[in-house]
Amino acid sequence: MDLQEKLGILAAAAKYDVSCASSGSQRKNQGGLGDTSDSKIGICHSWTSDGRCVSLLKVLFSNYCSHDCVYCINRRSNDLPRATFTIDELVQLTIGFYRRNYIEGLFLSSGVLGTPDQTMEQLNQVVKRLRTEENFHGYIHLKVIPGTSSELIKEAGSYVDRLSVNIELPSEQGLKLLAPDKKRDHILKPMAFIHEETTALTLEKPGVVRAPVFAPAGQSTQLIVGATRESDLQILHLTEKLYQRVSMRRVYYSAYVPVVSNPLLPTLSTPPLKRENRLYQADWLLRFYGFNAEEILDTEQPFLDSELDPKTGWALRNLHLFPVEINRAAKRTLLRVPGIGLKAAERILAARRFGQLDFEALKKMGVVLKRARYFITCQGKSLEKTLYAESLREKLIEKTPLAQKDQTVQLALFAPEELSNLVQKEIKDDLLLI
Amino acid sequence: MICYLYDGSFWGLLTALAVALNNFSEENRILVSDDFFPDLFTETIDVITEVNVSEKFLLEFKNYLNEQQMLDIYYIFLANEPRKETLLLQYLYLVKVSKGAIAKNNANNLVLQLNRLSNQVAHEVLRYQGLVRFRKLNEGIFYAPIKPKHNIVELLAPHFVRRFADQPFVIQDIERRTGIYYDLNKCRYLSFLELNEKLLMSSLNLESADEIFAKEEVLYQQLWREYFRKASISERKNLKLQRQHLPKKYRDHLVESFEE
Repeated sequence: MDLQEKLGILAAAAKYDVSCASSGSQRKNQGGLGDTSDSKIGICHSWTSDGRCVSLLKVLFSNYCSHDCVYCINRRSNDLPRATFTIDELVQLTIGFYRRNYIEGLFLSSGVLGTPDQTMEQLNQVVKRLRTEENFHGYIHLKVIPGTSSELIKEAGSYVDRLSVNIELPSEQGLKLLAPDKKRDHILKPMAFIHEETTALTLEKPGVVRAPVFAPAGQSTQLIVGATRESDLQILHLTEKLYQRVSMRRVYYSAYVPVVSNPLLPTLSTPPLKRENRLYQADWLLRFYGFNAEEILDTEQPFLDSELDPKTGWALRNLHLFPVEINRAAKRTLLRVPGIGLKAAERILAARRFGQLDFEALKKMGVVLKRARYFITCQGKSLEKTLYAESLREKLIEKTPLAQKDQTVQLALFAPEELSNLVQKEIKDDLLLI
Repeated sequence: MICYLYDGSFWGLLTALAVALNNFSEENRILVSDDFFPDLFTETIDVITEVNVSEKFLLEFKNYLNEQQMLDIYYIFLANEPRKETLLLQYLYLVKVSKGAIAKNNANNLVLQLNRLSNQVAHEVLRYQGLVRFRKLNEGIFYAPIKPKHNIVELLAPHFVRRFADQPFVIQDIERRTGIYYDLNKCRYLSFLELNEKLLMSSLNLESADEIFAKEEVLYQQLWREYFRKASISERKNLKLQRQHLPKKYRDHLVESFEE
């Protein structure tokens, strides 16, 4: 098999992993190739025909796999062309692509070749060679194979910028059902270990001359949305805990793409992209806007509204907190106004030091009033007369063509009986109980 | 109305700004002398570049503006915008009068326009940090043609020198015929870099690639195109989104090929 064919197979096998971050490391070039010290924000190098950015060479080391996870295209029982890189091929590809400025670095994952530790040893050899022999200082994101021992994770962390263990299925029931070879502990233990190693180093640093580096860009993870029946509320609770307890930098959501047919899986004709989009919006509210999961969703409404962004949804349920006066409101209050983002809030705070702002001034500053107009006043004046939740909802819903809407009612699509007992599990029952 | 004409250099612009601010009027303009078409009604003054006047001017404004705001002046100079000098003149007048306070007021019309233009330039620098595509030539030098809207090629130097410390490279602005050249010791700005048609043609469509490129170059380009094609998820196909992120005008000098 020639290299081009191999690359095609192993790129296609890795494309469902959505992480593309390449920032947050501070690796300086030491006379060789590559540098991430000036990248406060990641650099995108291209965009594929699905509109997703390309920043890293994202490939599997091998798509042979001893696991048989139902949702995964690379499952053992799936009949498809298989390939494995040699260490040398992968190193040369990374260097060759990087030198031509095609990429920011390498994103490496793999199917399970034998045992998790045997697989991880191969991956470690690739990154070790890049760093020690090739003098490569570009970005490296390495997947931890679930079930890998701590020693190998520790070694990996000394070479790479980011480590990640994918959760994939947001609950233990989901795992049991669809990924019988993976145990909850196989995922959580490595995560907790990475957390300990990264935080231990930050605590150690001040007194130590030069602390050894361990995955300076931290860890991330990914959840598949729509393959099992967890609610958005369960997913957001899990996300919140990941941010709080294991210093997760990012949680990625991947709309389930039906790659294999199996009676255990939903039969969606299109991936639930809208749901994925809403989860990202909610994730942003958790990380940057001071919201917690309970404000965004509750047990009575466990799914995000497909017609409204989550912040607008929250505002409509909390109309008593509005309108907000632009010239006086604190930053955290401004950030809760639908349509006002981080940049707009900063601009308002800076500009109002020079005088009272009116709606015209807001427009000129680039604050979008489409949604915000219903929730703010400028110098006591309002653009809209008092509105009630229902009429306001009518005005604010996003008119999406029918074709773009997700096939909702995920629950009804599941066939087998054994799933019915998974429907209304307590939220506490989710995967992460560290 | 007076029109101040300068030589098109940054130091020339600073001298012109210093002269024009001494006798400020809302209607006055600053233009590059080559771009000016004489007419009966406009009084013109040819400004001779004087480096010490320019330096004094910079020192004065350092009292009013922070580092980023000083950098904005240079970014505006590099912008592709015919009214940029006059915009700077009016903005700097307000800065001087308000002792710098105005620069933070982003509800002010001039400040707004200036920030927007400066951001456009900065944004294009970031964009090209990703979109530069090097081709390895048979002499071992890596060559990349670009066609930016603003005159940003020199702003790319620090980023690429940090990254490619062990790799000699040339990045050429093929419309302005300028470029930067890094020879493993230092990076030089080339104010005139003749266009090598043959080199450009092989970069665009692999014409006489064997002569021009290093032997492994074509293979890497094929591998990259294959990777680019296979990394896309067909169930999520969204060419409109792709176009939003990467408008067609930026695709000319890339290596990957795009679906229409």
